[in-house]
Amino acid sequence: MKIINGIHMIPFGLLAGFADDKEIRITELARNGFQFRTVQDMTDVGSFRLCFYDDRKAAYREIFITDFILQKEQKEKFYTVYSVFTKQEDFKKESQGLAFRYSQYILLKMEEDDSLLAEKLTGYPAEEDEIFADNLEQQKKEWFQDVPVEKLAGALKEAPEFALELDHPALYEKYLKEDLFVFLKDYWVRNGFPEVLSEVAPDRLYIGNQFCHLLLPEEKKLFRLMEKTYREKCRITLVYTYIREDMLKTTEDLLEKVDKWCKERQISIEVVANDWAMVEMLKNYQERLVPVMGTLLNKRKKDPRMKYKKGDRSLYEENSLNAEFYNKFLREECNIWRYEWESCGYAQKFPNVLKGRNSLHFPFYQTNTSQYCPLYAMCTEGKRGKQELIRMCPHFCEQNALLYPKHLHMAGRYNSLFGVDTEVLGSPEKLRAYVEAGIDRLVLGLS
Amino acid sequence: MKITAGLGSTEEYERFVQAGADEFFCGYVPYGWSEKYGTVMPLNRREVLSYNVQIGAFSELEILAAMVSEYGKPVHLTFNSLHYIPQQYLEIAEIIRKCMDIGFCSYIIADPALMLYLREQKIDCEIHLSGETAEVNHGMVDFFQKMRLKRVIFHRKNTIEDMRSVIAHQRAAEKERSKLVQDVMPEQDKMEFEAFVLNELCQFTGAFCNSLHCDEMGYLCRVPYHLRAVHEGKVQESTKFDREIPTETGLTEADLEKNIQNKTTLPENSQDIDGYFCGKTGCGLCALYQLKESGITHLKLVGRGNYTDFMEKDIRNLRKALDILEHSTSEKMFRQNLKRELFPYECSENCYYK
Repeated sequence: MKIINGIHMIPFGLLAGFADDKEIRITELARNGFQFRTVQDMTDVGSFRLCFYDDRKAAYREIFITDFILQKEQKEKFYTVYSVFTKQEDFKKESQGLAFRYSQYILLKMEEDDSLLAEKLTGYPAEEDEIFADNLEQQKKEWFQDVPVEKLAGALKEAPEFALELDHPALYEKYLKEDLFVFLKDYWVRNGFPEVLSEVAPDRLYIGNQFCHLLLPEEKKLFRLMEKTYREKCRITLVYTYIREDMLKTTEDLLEKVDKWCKERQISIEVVANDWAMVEMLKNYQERLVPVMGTLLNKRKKDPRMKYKKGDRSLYEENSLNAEFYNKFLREECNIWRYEWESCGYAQKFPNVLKGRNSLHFPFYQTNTSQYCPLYAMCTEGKRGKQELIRMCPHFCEQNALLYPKHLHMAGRYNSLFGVDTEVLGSPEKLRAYVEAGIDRLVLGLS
Repeated sequence: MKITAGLGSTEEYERFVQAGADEFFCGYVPYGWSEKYGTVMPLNRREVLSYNVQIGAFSELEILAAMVSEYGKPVHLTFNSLHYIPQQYLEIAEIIRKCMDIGFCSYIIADPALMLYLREQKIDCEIHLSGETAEVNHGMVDFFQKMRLKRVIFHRKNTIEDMRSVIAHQRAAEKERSKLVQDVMPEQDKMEFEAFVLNELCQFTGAFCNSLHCDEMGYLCRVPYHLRAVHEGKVQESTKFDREIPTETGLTEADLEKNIQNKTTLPENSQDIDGYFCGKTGCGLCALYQLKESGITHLKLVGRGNYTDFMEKDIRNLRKALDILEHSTSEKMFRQNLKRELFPYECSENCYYK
């Protein structure tokens, strides 16, 4: 007997097999049977289990083959090939189904672009990929236009702690020039909100940028910012991003100065670490510099297209920080008790052991970051892929952004891509729900 | 420097060994994992089911183990998702134990929690710190020393100066540890350092790329985008180029960049009859001299699931480039000979290291 017109090497992710309990790869699949290969002799098999993936359900359908003829084929240097012949109807049906779906998928990949492929497979609105805003300001107005202002103000006032992010040069300058109330008024209005929200004063300022090393304030400015924040009786969180090798020394020097500054004022401040070297460095300043685990180290899947993703999305609710052994390590070895989270459009479970030590950034969430700047490459080379390490940054990001199709609710700012969780602003009761779920600090960043 | 090549199937092993690869890395995802987690919580960074980017069933790993035993070219397994959920750590430990039983001893890992868990469970495998972990600097390498690393894989956006500095720091620390004036620490005890050298130059950094990679949607970074002003009325000021949005063609910047990746826009003479173009999607060949000088021990050639023929040509070209390097007495000579031998017309200019 021979296997007739089989398909060779269907990916194991689509077609898995077992000979009794042994996991095998199906190397050829046909209507009348299949082939597999093993190192061991397999002449005595009681049954086969074949697992066919159905992408429409994002699940496998398993069938057991008990009525079959097993035939030993050629012996190769490292393995022996076997053929299995069966007339089972369920096998025929599933084999044909998989062959059809697999060939359809290949056809789609060959002939369609990513948007149309996604549309065919998930219902993704491909035609909306062509609709863009004219500029970021206009885009933001659309995102934020339906925010119930009173409710938002209420949620921020009720939060155990409300913090505001100062994360780029224009904002640093503005904050230094104006008193807090004037600054806040302008901040809200510039981002498309009524100035009434400026009555909600932040308890804390986050100074610095978690994602781009070129957006940290220079040393003198940093101390001016901290001084003003201290004078205005706001608490301080100093925000660092990844630390490039050539920045380690200056970073350590700066931490020493910050520590001294804190000592003189008899205060302690938080430092957001997004780099393992920074975590290590902060061990030297435990008394006054409190380490916080930053967003780049607190990893999870984030994507504005999440609602189209197939499979059990509830699995996204947890990440490694929900594992107690990891928490314990971070607490005991790294002195990390607080984690920075982001509102990213789906429910999250925050670690119980740290209830009350979780900050939630909203409404933007990071999805992609590059140490070399994609925006700089676009602005200088016309190609986002032509990236290189930037030594002197002219801050193109103050004037330019990458806009994405409106329906995706995302934008490219400086060296990163961000999604925006419009729901958390549109329904501020979600912020209350976050607080109930273990968030004790809301961190707002609108620019 | 040794060539570490991606492996998409057992068929490729012998071919790639003959082509000149010194070692390999590949993914193994058991059915039990795919059944429970699909592509929602993948086991490694090839987060798809519909492509031959994993090695397949455990029976294939056994075949591969037999090949490794014959040829002596090791294979490292990738368990390098950026994070996992609590229940998965025990499951991964079980998978790794099973793989170790048949001779696979080295694992490429990105999630610090997984490294920690394996060490807490006294699983004494070799750990290669994945290029997808975080920023790589000497402080980070020191931090992860407590996990007893065998190798550090630099990420795609580490400069050669970064690498040189990190490696020098590590070698000094090793020397210190050996308590000897002379550098006599056995080679096998020294940390290895791996750098990307061919293919798949991503626009964003793997460690900081949290968006979806799956069968049913393309990468988020490839969604169409436009460069626009932040504020109304303010026009983009370019510096080196005259930027015009090509609205008449209906192409976005993303489309244009895809075209750059596409062979049709690359110099015709530079691709062979099959459409193969060395370094088309990312290349660091002309940096080999500097990589060697900086102390890199292994060169990563990515491309699991690429056309086998293309990967084989990549390995042959990299081997040829290393031969040229061996016979070059200066960087200038190396670059000249490399250009003459491998890029007589033009290269892709998709440079890993500028």
